[in-house]
Parts: sequence; C-alpha cells; structure tokens
Amino acid sequence: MKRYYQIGFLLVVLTASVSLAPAQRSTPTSPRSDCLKGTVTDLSNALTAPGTADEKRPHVSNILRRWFVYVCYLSPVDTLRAQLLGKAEEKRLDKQPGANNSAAGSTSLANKGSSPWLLGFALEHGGLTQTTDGNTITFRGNLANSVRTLLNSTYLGSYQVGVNDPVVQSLSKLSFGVSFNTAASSAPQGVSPSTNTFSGASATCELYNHRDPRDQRWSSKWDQLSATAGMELAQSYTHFDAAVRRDPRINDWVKSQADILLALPQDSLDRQLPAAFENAVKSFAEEFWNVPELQRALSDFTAGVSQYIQTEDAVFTEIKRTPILTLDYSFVRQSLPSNQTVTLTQATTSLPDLSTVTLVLEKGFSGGAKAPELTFNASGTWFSKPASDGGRVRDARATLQLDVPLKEIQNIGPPTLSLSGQFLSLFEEPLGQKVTLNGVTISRTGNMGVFQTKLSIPVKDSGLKIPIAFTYASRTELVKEKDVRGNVGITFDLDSLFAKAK
Amino acid sequence: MKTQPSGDFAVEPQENITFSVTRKDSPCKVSFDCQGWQSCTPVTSPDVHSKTKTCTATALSGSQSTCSITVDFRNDSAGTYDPGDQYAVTIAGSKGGSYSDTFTPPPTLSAQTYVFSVE
Repeated sequence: MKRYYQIGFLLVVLTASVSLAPAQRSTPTSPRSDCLKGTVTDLSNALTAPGTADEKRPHVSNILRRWFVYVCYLSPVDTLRAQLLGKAEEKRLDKQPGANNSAAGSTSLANKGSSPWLLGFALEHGGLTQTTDGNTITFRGNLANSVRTLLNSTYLGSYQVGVNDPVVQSLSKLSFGVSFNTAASSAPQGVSPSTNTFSGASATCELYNHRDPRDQRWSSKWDQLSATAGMELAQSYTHFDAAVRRDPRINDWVKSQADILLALPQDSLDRQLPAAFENAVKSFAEEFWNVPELQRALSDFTAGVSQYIQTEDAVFTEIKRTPILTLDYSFVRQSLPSNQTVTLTQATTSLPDLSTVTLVLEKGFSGGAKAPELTFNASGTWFSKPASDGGRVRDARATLQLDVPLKEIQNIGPPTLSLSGQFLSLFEEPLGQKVTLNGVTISRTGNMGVFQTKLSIPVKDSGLKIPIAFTYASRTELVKEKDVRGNVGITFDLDSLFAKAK
Repeated sequence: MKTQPSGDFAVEPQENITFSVTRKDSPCKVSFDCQGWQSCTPVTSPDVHSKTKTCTATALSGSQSTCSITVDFRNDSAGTYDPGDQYAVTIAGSKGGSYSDTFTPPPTLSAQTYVFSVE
C-alpha cells in the first residue's frame, strides 16, 4: 500500500511541477538562441511602447548595437557562451526541504542550515537510527516570505516587499516545517493531513547567515568590483563598440535591420520577433564577424569578459565560504515501528513525544560552484514526560556531513554526493519506555555510530531532487546488531520553479 | 539633449548629461566608461538598487563623446540569474530631453555604448 502512496504523491508532484512552470514548456531552443532572449524582451517592449515608428527607431537602433548578445550567440567558444547564459537558481547545497534527521523516514543524517525561501516539500522513505519503515511527507517553508509572495506575485517583487523593514527581515529568518506519516493515513490514495497522520513539526531560526550576495555586508565588495574589474570590462566594451562603428557599412546595416523590426506586425510580435532578431544577428555575422579589425577587438573583449568573471567569482567564493549558523527545534510524535513485532510492556501508557534542539554550523570551501560544503550538527533530544526509569534526556548527537557537487549530467543536472557520520549516545530507552521486540524485552542504551552515503539527483529545471541513501549503523536503537539499509525520497523546492513562473 | 534616428544623441555645448541606472534586484553591479567629456563626476549610489554619474559635454561643436554602461545579472559563480531581474537606464540632459532603456537577462552580462555629439 505504501508504494501506492509514493506513486500517487510522485504524480501529484510531477503534475504540480508541470503546471507551475509554464515558461519551461515553451518550444525547445538552442543555447545560442537563449543568448537572444533578454534582448528580445527589451526589443518587444521598445516596439510595443506608445509612439510612431520614427519615435521608436532610436531605441530599436540602440538595442541592435548590444554586442554582448552577438558575442554570446556567435562565439565559437562554448565556455564563454555558458558563462554569459548562466543558469536558473537551484544549485544551493545549504537548503533542506526534507524532514529533520530525528524524524522517522528522514533520508538526512545531518540537518542543513537553510530552508527553502518560500516552500518546499519532501517524501522520504526509510529510517536512520531505528529499524523502521517510515514514510514521511514534510512541508517546509517560511511564513513571512509566503505572506510577501501573496502580496506580490513575482519572485523578485516578493523579495522586495518589506526589504527595508527590520521586523519583516527578522521574521523571514524564521522557517517552519510540518511532517506527516503516510503509513498512518486512512486515505485510499495519497495522504490526508490530519491529527492521526501528524508526525512532527519544526521551527528553524537563522542566527548567522550572510550567504546572500544582496546582503548589506557585501555592498562595498560589489562597489569595488564595479569600480575596478567592471570599469575595465566597460573599457574593453567601448573599444569593441568603436571597432564595429569604424566599419563604414555599420550605420546602413543598423538602419536596414531597424526597418525590418519596425515593420513587424504588432499583433504577432511574440511569434515573429525572436526569429527576426536571430536573422539580424546572423546577418551581422555574415557582414562583419570575420572583419580582421573586429576579430582583434573581439579577442581583447572576450579576454576582458573572462577576467571580469574571474574577479567576480572570487567575491562569490568569499561569500560562499562564510559560515551559516542556525538553531532548530523539532517536535516528533513517536509511534511504534510498523514492520516489527514491537509491543509496549505498559500497554496503557502512550509513548512520550520527543523534542530536539539542534545547532547547525555550515561552512563552504573555496572552489566556486563546484566547491564542497561541510555541515556540523550538535543536538540533544528529550522526552515530553519522564522515561520509565525517570530520566528525560533521551540522547545527544554529533553529526558531520560533507556535500560534494558532482559533474553535471547532461539533460539532468548536477548531482550532489553527501558523506556523513553521526555519533549518538542514548541515555534512556529509545522509545521512552520498555518495549518487547519479538517477545524479548528491550531496554537498550549506550553509543552507536551511523555512516551514510547519499546521492541527490536533480530532475532538470523542475525543482525536484531524488535522494538515494545507503546507511550503515553499528547497531540500531532497538537492536544490538549492525544494520545496513537504503533510503529513497523525493524533495521539491518551490523556489526554483517560482523564480521562473513569471 | 535630442535623440537622433540612429540612436545617437545631440547635446548642447557644456550640457550636463546624467546617467541613472536602477536594478530591480540588488546589488546594482553597473560600471561606466565615459570618454571624450569635459568632465565627469564619480559614480554615486543613492541606494543599493541605483547608481548615477553625470558628465559635462565639451564646449566644442562637433566633438563626440561616449559612455559605455555595463550591467551584471550574475548572482553566484554558476552564473545564476533571476529572469525577472532588470536594469533600467535613464539618460537625462540638463537642457531638456531624456531617454530610457532596459536590460533583461540573458545574457547575464550586457552593455551599451551611448554616443553624444555636441551641436
């Protein structure tokens, strides 16, 4: 039955990802055509602005002289084109859409520092420190940012709501999470969130996080970049522009291309403009691209672009290396493992709930987008009521995780390999009271070690990731023997879709 | 300042031309390379979204000056950008006339050279 839940949920998620990303269903385009997209938008705005064709002509003529677009489209160097095209936001390693590591069914041994900016959810299957089969659905999000999104429907616009308000900024450091146990659901298909299926909740507060390049702390760095490397880039652009303008044919060429664009019918601009502008770029290539003087200027210009990107990447690396410190509180409603013969010795007493406080420290390394990231967790868990021998502190844990971005798989995306280890010291019976497993009374405390290898595979441009984990435990909380198990899941970060669905 | 059909600008002798660039997102990563002017002020930042520079045209009729403006949409070393992001450029003459331009990604780096001739 659980498989049906998973398949049903997967279908819901895939349906949502398709319906939330209309921009991604457009006709497939080549990377070269992608170079033109932004300028096509600007041209469209210029052509549909009020005014006569003569009034629009200066603006259209200027846009036709944006040589970055031509260099992006015509350059034989794929790496330069890739640098100029960039990517949509979904590569951050420090987000955790899934359940906390103390939840049944979590595939994560370590908690990460950041939650999704807006909303994320995850379906995870398996257990880490107990020999249980938990299916957990987790919704994580940020309440303040969700309200900002309701007030302004665009991703960027919602970021700007209350950007100068210290109260809004403080509230957006708080995120929440709610988990449901699918095994407890009575719904024939999917999961019905209810008090019966509720398995836990969490709240996360960012104590220290300056990873956002928009953070005020980095403004002097950006000003310095603009005044130095940016200035040199602008100078190399001026030289390239001058080289193009020195060709006596260029003014006639601009005029003829402007004539073509201004003659496009307004009611079919969306359809005709991309092709018309692409033809203009191809026409430029035929007329001017191989002129020796232009090629010489191009060589200097592309070197200037690479130099600028290299200098800017050094700033991004510095930003990424800054630590993130978060404090996380999670509440877990305990339930008996569903796949074993575990029974309570005191049947009239319910299992106590669990509360966990986790301090998460995350630190990046140098190396740009491919740099690994180290995460350390220190946590303590206590029972909501005293355990059978009177103690309330259940365990203490220390976890270390290394996330390594792997080489991008074509048409899929860059997977991430995570290696983690956890030391867990159990002070009380794991469930808060004595239980019997297959008829044998269990009252096990002591230390255990857990090691995990996890591969998170993205589903290209969808916000979906599929984490597949293999975990080795020196023992489990209930059973003395060592344990090796696999966990699979689906996580979904709405941020990356919302950023594209304008 | 008058806009000509070619997209270039005609300015009066010693007219002040102010370039204002505003990014929807922040930081405003814009650079100016202005050549052939009598003088130019340093770049100022009215807020985290905007940068401004003012240049004064020469008194010599027929002289030409340029100002290249580069804009940067990159949000990390992977070249991540927000498709809804935008830079808006406004060029205003002290003796009247203004011109507006926008830059939308991709590409994540873009630029435009504006050319001015003294009448």
